[in-house]
Amino acid sequence: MVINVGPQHPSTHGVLRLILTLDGEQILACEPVIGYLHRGLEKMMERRPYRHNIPFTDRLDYLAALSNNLAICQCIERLGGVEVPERAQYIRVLLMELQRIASHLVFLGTFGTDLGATTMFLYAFREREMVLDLLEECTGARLTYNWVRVGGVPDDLPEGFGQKVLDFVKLFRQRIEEYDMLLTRNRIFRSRTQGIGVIPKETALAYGCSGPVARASGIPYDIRKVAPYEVYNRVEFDVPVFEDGDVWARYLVRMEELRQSLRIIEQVLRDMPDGPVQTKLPKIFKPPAGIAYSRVESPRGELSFMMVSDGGANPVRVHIRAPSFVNLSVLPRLLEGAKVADLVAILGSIDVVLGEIDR
Amino acid sequence: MNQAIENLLQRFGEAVHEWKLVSPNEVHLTVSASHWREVAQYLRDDPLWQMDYPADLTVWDTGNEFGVYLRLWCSVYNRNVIVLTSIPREEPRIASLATLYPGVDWHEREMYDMYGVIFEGHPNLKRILLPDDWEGFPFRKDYVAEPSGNPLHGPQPVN
Repeated sequence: MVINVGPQHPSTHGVLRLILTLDGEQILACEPVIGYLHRGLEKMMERRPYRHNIPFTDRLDYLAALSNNLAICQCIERLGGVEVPERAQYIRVLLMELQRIASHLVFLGTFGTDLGATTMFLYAFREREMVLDLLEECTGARLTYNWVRVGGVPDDLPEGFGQKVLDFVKLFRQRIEEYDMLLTRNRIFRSRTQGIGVIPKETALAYGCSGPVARASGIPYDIRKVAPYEVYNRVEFDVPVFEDGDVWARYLVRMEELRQSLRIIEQVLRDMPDGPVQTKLPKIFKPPAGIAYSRVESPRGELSFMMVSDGGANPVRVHIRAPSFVNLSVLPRLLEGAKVADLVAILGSIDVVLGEIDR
Repeated sequence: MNQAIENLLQRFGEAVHEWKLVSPNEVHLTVSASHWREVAQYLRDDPLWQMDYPADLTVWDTGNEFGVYLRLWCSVYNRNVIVLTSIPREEPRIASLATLYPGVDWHEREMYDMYGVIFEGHPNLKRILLPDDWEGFPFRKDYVAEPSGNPLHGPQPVN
């Protein structure tokens, strides 16, 4: 029997359509159909000056817009050889980690709802609201921040921001314990996730999986460690790696990353120096001809921008390597032989955002 | 790393047009399109390279030709390799790497979708983001992007 899941379905987290071939309760084949949200952002970027493209990136991974802002700015900086002041680098890292917490909280909330633990949604979004309030105070927006600039950040942190973040960190440490009680120690949740949707290490490597999906399969691939950017080489943090590769391991990786993000935030606030937050750049910015790429560890994995310049004011080509796009390509392989009831858990654990898949 | 590069140059000779050690763990190679798959296979299988992680693959249009870009990562030595080549615009064909690296399967489909590059030997080369009946390849520089040229809608009535 062939059935369609989506494109309008609450568990697909966007407009994703899966064509499933079933034998009773078992999935024989799965074909994802994507592109419902395709806007041609890469082509639109070719028609605008480099720095005008930053707001477009907010619309890629809309749950982690700051990571996208950072990725495109880093790529332009590499292309043009722009230096970033030290304080701006610390501010960037601080905001990236707050963004990671906000994004993982959406994962926890929706993943819990997918599996029937609706309470988790309320808890996770309560704390996410606090992070969004902090980010709003700093950037002026709640989702589409457009707040990283080529050569720094547009403005310094508001007065007393550091203390507010520290208060949140202190509170959030206790709240993670509550999540553990709700989900991690929940027997029903465990039996629905353990041993389900296993990605072996070799498969994860060959498919180019990144982020929590790769780290749950035993690949210690975290851009913050393998190719440190900004000031990630000056802060201490661990990269959680699990060997099992199942839904449960992917959940545990994200839970541990929440704690590590808090550690990074505390160190960044402690070490942040004073100074300027932006480098002066010419009004018309023309980087030399060449190819450059940047890599950023977004909450979903390796986000990479690749740009080709011919020395003009507009890029010749902007390519976005979206982590969800690559992580989703392993889904057909993953669902072969799985039960229909596990589909929602498996898809939820990959944590896809359709905005960056379709671009 | 130096030994690995030397072996590669010896093995492929003229097919490697250019190489550059950008940092201690990153190499950029420019190769001829006819050796695209052989170079990728060598990089994956040679014990000194072991580039086992397909990070990225894309195409760009310079107006005269298509450039092809492949980025690989090695989980053993933490190295990056970027392989570049160019193919003619009139007959954009290049060997597919999808059977070597399953991860580039969707990237190649996307590049076929946007640029019309034929990846020879790809198991399932069809449109991925655009509808199956879309006409033309929108990321080419000579594509007419006027709304009236949109094959799905045509001219829209103005209210």
